[in-house]
Amino acid sequence: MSAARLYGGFRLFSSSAVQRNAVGGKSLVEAVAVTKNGRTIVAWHPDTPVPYENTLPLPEISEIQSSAVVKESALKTAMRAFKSKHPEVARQELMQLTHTTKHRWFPRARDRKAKQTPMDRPYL
Amino acid sequence: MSAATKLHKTSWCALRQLQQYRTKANFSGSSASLAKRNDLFNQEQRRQRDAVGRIDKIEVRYLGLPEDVTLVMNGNISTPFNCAQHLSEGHCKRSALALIDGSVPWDMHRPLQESCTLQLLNFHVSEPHVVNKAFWRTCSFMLGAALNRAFKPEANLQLHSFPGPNIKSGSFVHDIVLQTQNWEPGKEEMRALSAEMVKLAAQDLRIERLDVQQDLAQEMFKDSKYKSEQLPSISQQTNGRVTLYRLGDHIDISRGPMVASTSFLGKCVISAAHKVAEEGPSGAFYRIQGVALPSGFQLNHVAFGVLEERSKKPSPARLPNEPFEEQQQLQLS
Repeated sequence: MSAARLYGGFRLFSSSAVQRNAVGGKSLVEAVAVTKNGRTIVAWHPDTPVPYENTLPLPEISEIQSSAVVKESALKTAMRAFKSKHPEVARQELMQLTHTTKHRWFPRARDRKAKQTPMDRPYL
Repeated sequence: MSAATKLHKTSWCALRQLQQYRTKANFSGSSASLAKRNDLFNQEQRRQRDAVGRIDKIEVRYLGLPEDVTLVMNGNISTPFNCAQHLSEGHCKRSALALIDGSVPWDMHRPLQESCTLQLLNFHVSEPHVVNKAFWRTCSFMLGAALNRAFKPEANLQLHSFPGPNIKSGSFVHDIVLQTQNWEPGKEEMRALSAEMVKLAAQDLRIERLDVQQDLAQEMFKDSKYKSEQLPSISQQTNGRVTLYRLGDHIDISRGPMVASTSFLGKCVISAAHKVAEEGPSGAFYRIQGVALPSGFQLNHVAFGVLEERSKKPSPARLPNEPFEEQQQLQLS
C-alpha cells in the first residue's frame, strides 16, 4: 500500500515538472534520482559559476577628504571635546569597545556604601 | 541625577583610557625622531639629576597664605611644587607659577638652587601680569603640541617658532610652515584644532623644563630645519645654554617660564590661521592664533565672542620670515 502511494507521488517529479521553476526557465536541478529502497529522492544542483565577462566592478567608495591638512579623526571627534556624552551613548560605545553587555556599565548601589574597614589607629 | 553623573564620569574615564590605548598603538614615521628626542631629553634629565652630587640643604622662606613658614629643602632637587606639597593639596593644584625673592619668575617644576624667598602665584593674585604672561606662553607652546597631533603627515607640518607673549595683541600665536600655499581653513578645521587643545588640557600633562647645551639641542632638533637655524642665535643670547620644555612627548625651545601643567587651560578657541609669506616653491608660513582663559574663570559666550573676534585680527608680533638680526630685543620664544 505504501509502495503504491510512493509510486503515485513520483509522477510529480516527471521531466515536465522539473522544467517549471522560479528562475525563468533556467534549470538549476541537473538530475533527480530515487534511492534503491525508495525512501529518499535526491536532487543534484551544483553551484553555477558566473562567467567573468558577465560581471561589472563594484562602484568606487572613496572617502570624502574634507580637509587637505587636518586629520579626519580630529575633525570627526572635535565636538566630543566640548560636550559631555549622554550616559546611554557612553554605554553603547563601551559595549562596542569591550564586547560586553550593558549591565556592567550601570551604576551600582553597593559602590556607594561605606566599606567595613578596620580603623587604622588603635584609639579610634 | 547624581547616579547618572557618577556613571557618566566613570564611563567617560574608562572610555578615554581605552581610546588612549588604541591611539598609542598607531605608529608613524615621525614618531622615530620624536622618540629619539624624548630619549635624549630623559638622558639629560637623569644626568643632571645625578650630577648634583652632595645634597645640600637650603632654607626656603615661604610668604603667603595660610602663614609664612620656613621650609628646609634639598638644593638643586626640590622644586616649588615640592614646597607646595608641604603646605596643602590646594596649593599644589592652584599654584601656576612661583616667584623667587619677590622678583624672579620660576617654573613650578624647576629645582631651586639656593636659599630664597618663595611666593606661589595663581590667577587670582592682585598683580597677575607675570602669571598671565606665563599662561599666554604656555598656550602658544600647547598650540604647537596640538598642531602636531591634529595635522596629517602629508601636510609636512614644521613648527617654526612662537613669539613672546603680548597680551595686548589679544591672541597667542604659533608660526608654522606647511607644504601647501593655498590652505583656507574652514570652521570645521578650526574647531578640530580647538578640540585638540581642550583634549591636552583634560589630560593634565606636566610641563617640564630642562636647560641643555647647544650641541645637545642641535642633536635633538637636527631633523627640524628651522630649529637648527634658530639655535645658534638663541644660544648666543643665553650664554650657550638652551632652555627646552616638554609636554607629554612634545619638546620645544622657549625662554620660559610656563605654568605647571596643561590643566590650567580652561575655555580655549583657535580662531584664525593667517598666511604670512611663501616659503620656497611649494611651502608657506602660516600664523595660527587663538585665545584662552585659565580654568576656573567663567565667561558667558557673548563676552567670550568679543574676545574671539578680537583674536582673529592678525597679530603684530615679529613675523617668522623677517630677519632676526634686525631686532635686537629678546623676542623669540
